[in-house]
This record gives sequence, C-alpha cells and structure tokens, in this order.
Amino acid sequence: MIRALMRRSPPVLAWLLATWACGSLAAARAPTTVLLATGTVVDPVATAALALLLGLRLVGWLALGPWLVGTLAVLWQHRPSARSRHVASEPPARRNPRLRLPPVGVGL
Amino acid sequence: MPRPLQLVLALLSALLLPGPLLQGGADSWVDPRSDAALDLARALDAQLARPLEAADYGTGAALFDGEWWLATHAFALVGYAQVARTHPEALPELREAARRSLDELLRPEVRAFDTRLWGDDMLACLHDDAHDHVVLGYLGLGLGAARLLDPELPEAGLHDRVAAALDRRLSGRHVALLATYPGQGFPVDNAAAFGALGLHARATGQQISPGVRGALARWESRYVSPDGLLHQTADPRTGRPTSPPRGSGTTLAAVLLAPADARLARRLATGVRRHLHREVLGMGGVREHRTSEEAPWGHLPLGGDVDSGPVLLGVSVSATGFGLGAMRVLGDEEAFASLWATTRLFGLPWPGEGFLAGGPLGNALMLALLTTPTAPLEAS
Repeated sequence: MIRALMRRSPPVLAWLLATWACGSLAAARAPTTVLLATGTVVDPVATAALALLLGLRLVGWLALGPWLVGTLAVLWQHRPSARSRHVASEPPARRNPRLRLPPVGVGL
Repeated sequence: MPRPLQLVLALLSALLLPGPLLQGGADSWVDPRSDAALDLARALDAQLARPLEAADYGTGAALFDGEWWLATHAFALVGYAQVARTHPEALPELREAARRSLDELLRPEVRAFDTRLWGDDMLACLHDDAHDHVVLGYLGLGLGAARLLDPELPEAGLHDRVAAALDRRLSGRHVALLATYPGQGFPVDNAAAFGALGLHARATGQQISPGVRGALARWESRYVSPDGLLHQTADPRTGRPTSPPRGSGTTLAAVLLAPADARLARRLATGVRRHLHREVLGMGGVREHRTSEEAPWGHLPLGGDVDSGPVLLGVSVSATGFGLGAMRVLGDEEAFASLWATTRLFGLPWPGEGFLAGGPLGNALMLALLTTPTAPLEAS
C-alpha cells in the first residue's frame, strides 16, 4: 500500500516545487510586478511567473478532488479485508506456490 | 472500487470540491481573533517600505498611474485603522505603518496627476472653491484613518481644513456632484468625499453637518437607481447621469459611504447582492452591468475598462474585489465567502506577501476591503 501511495506522490511533489518556484520568483520581483487588473505587462518575467502560478493553482484545485478519490481508491484496494478476500479467491496453485513446483522426487 | 465509479467520483469532486474548500479561509476574515488581517497589514507595510513611484504601476497612462499611487496609500491607511479595531494590541506598529503611508500620501508628487488637470494643487487652494478637486476625498479618507489611529496626529489641522473644504463644496452644490476632473463627474468619487466627512466626524466626535446630510440625500436621489445601483458617470454641471449603473462603482461606493451613511451604504450593497452577485459551484463574482446590453462590449465574453478591470462572462475583477467590502458592509457572510473563494484562487495569496496578483494597490485594497466593518443595522 505504501508503495502504491508513493507512486502517486511525484506529480504532487513536482506541483509543489513548481508552485514554490513561481511564487517565490513573482514575490521577489514585487512591487514592480504586473498588475493583472489592467492586463498591463510591466515585468515580463514576473508576468510569466504569475501566469504559471495561476495555472498551477487552477490545476491544483481542480485535481485535488480526483487525487483524493484516487488515493481513497488505492486505500480501498489495499484494505486488510480486501487482501484476505483476494487471497481467498485465488486458485489453490497461486495461493500455495509450493503446489506449483515440479513433483521432484516422485517416482524415484 | 470499480473504475467507472472512480471516474464519476473524480469528475464530481473536481467540479464540486474547489469552491467549498476555497471558501474555507473566509472565516479568518470574519473572526476578530484571527491574525490574517494583521499579517496582511504587515505584508503591505513591508511592501511599501520601498517608496513607490508612479512608474511602478505601468498602466500605460500617467493619470491612472497617479490615481493608483494615491489610492494605494489612502486605502492602506483605511486598512490599518480597521485592523486596529480588532487588534488593539498592535496599535503601535499600525500607527508607525500609518505614519509612513501618510507621509507618502501627502507628497505633492502623489497628487501631481490632479494638479496637472486642474492647474492648481488641491491642498494649496483649500480656502477657495474655484475648483472641485473631489479627489481630495481620498486624501481625507487617509487623513481620517490616520487620525483615528493617532488622535494627536500632527496633521490634524490639515485634516480639519480638508474636511471643511469638502463640506462647503458638497453642501453648496445643488446637483450634489463635485467634478473629479474638469467636466468629468464620477459619483463614486463623491462617495469617497462623503466617507471622508464621516471619518472626520468620527475622529473629532462631531456630527456630519446638515448641509452634507442634504447633499447626501440629493446624491442618492440623482445617482442611485431604483434598484439600488450607482450610475458610473454623470455631468457635474447638470447632475444628469451619463452612463448606466455599474458593479465596480456601486460596490466601492457602498464601502466608502459606510462611515457617513450606513443606511445608504447598505442600500447599495443590497442592490449588488440582489442584481449583480452570481455564484457558481461555490465561487462568487459580481457582474459589472445588470445586462449585457448595457455593457459597451455587448455580449462579448471578454471586455472591460480601467474601472472594471478585465470582465469575463460579465463578471468584473474590480466589482468582485470591491464586492468583498460591500458584502461585509451588509454582513452577508455567505456572499462574502463566495467572493473570497474567487479572490483566494485568482488573487494568488502568498505567505508574507499578501496577494501577488495585485501589486501594492491590490494589497492595500484587499486590506481595506477584507476588514471593512459591517454597517450597523439600526441605521437602516
């Protein structure tokens, strides 16, 4: 389960890192930053950072729900009762690997 | 969990979750124990530590650069005074921040845009009424807020003279409209003048004069439409409205008027709530015009001007921002939370920096609007 959850973390970490970088860059260039209220570009770097930050935040908020649903789905699939049912439903050969071994010694 | 169910849940959550989650932070602007307002005041003061210049705004027009420079310090002062109401323990630092902003506000360069258009300095001709200089109202708001923070304000005499000039000019004008610039009348700027007189009365323990009360009544009857929205422009000679009511002017006027006339401020805010406020999936916005037919850009999905900011699908950036204050005047926490959700998403709040999207003016406005007190109901 931990591995399944860890597989979901790289996009989140990338999002956090990109958000931090854009926000820090825009903040560092204030107060001569762009005023989005007029749409006037004063500082192209700050404008780009702000636009990217806005995009990241939009994506972040929109993806938050699906991410939570996906995480819950992973937890659901790895819940203890599901594991025991999963094991119980497997054919005997998969449940007990020893049964799949060649019958060494038989007939000797 | 079956795959189709996961997809349906993911889609529903993408649509339904962001609004309510973004609304969550609204509580911190309603709860007086929260430090959100104080943090924003500190971020703004730090941002204003480097003296601004008109060129910092870069709107493309010297007039608008100048207006925004002046508005930054006027609204910063109003914000500091409002934060002090809920955080009296921070009074010394707020007073220092206000001192710095007032020094900037009173620099002749900050009001040079007005001097250029009228041909004389608004503070040098307080004794005569040859020119209206209604922008003086914004200086009066700043001075009044600073005086509320510091009753021993060295500029108290100047504040009294500014208030006397505004009182005289408004009381004597039968159309109750002072010109913003020669031949140009904006009722919302007169709301700032009335508000400045309200703050002066509060700071000095006096009542608003009967002459100003009469002017307020005339102003309401001429420029506020029956549905409670404010006309954006009017002819200062005839008092005839020259453009339809708009969201940006009405929302800002509701905030500015509150210290002078709580009933009228609530009437404007109610008009906005009834006719212009929209909410979709928990995200709120305020329309700039009642109908698309009234908008100069018609049914285009994108429009706007310097007053409204960009207008997307009829919803205006300025009206939505000012609407935060208007809904606080009304004490409508539900509408405030919906507008806060939009502000939180698009304003790009950042730790220690306030809001990244609006620059110094944005932070000053946000401080004043997010701390606007509710107008007392009994005044209605």
